Amino acid sequence: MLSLYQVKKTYLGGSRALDTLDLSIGPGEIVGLFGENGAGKTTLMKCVLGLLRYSGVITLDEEPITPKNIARLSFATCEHSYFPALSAAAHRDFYRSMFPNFREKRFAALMEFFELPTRKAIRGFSTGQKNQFEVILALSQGADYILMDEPFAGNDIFNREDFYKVLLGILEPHETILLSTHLVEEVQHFIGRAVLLHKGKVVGDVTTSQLEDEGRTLMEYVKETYRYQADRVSRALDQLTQEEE
Amino acid sequence: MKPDLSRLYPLGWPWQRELRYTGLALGFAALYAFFRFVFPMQKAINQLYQLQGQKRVLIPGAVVPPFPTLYQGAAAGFVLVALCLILLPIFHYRWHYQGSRSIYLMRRLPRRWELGRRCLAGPALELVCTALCALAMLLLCFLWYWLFTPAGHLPEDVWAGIGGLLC
Repeated sequence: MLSLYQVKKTYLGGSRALDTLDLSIGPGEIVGLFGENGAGKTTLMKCVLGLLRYSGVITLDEEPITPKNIARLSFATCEHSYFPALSAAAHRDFYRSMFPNFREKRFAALMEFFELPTRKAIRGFSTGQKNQFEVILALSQGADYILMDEPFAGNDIFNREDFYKVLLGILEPHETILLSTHLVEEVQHFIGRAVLLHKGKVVGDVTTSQLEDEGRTLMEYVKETYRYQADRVSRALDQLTQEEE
Repeated sequence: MKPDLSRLYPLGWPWQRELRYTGLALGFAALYAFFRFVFPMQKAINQLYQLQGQKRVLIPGAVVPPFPTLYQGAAAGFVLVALCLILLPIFHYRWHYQGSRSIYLMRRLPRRWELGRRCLAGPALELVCTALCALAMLLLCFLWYWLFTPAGHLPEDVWAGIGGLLC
């Protein structure tokens, strides 16, 4: 269980990215993390991984996250965390040496599925291939909790669809995914739970089965939670056209 | 067989090029030290002689300056190389921000010191090599000083003023 209690993060300059945030994610869950830009999605993940200082408590199975258990967490980010000058094979060797549970077979299978070259430096990959490789590394590390921060930014729709399918196919029951994305409608059939952030706080937390029971779509839930004003655009357009007249 | 030192450097860092440049810099530093020593040394030896007719004869009681006086400033090239090497870990660290944020991976490794090791180990090794080269050069020049100074014309304390060697 990955647990965050009263987690606060304030950046230099005083902007609060996380505001007394509480969240628990159990093994085997596939959680979508949603929120507008600046809601705190990336900050949350970086705090979990120890990449940012924070106040509050973050634990993994009741234990603080230290180098002892950090290998149980992996991270795929749209900023990319691979080494551009290295080949996929060199990354595999490095991960193998660093992470004792590195999934060699999964790595090879995913590389083959996405037809990525193993001997070419990653800097020579297309944007889509780079994203795919970033996710492949996160999935192959052998982690129990896989954190993904908008990993498909720049990938085309077919590519993303492929990935969701592959993910669902390869994940083992204990593997947990925390996926931050703006693609609400696209991932609604892939995730089992949605967590909505706003100004560093959890403003919505629902399972997709709950939504199904209530006969609502994830998008409806999201719009409702954020009090989305459907007539916002038409009002703005009206105002603009009136000004022109 | 060439040793694989890649484990001492950041992943993907062109460490062979770094070693090549360091070697080149050490070569220039050694040449600088040698010539910076040899010219004053030659001058000091010439000053031990006087002309008697057409013959050069040694001046009785004349001595060459102590070795550190002649070697003064000769190690400046090595000092410069060492200063550059001290700054090198900054570039190694910055490497993890180029083209991606591989720093995220390095900072979440189970081996806590891996990032520090890969930033520091290479420059540390090169610093040791620099120190050894500087020492070897010092010994070579001292040997030159010892062998080429005519017998009986060395000062009483050949190491007098050793503190000024690096200045």
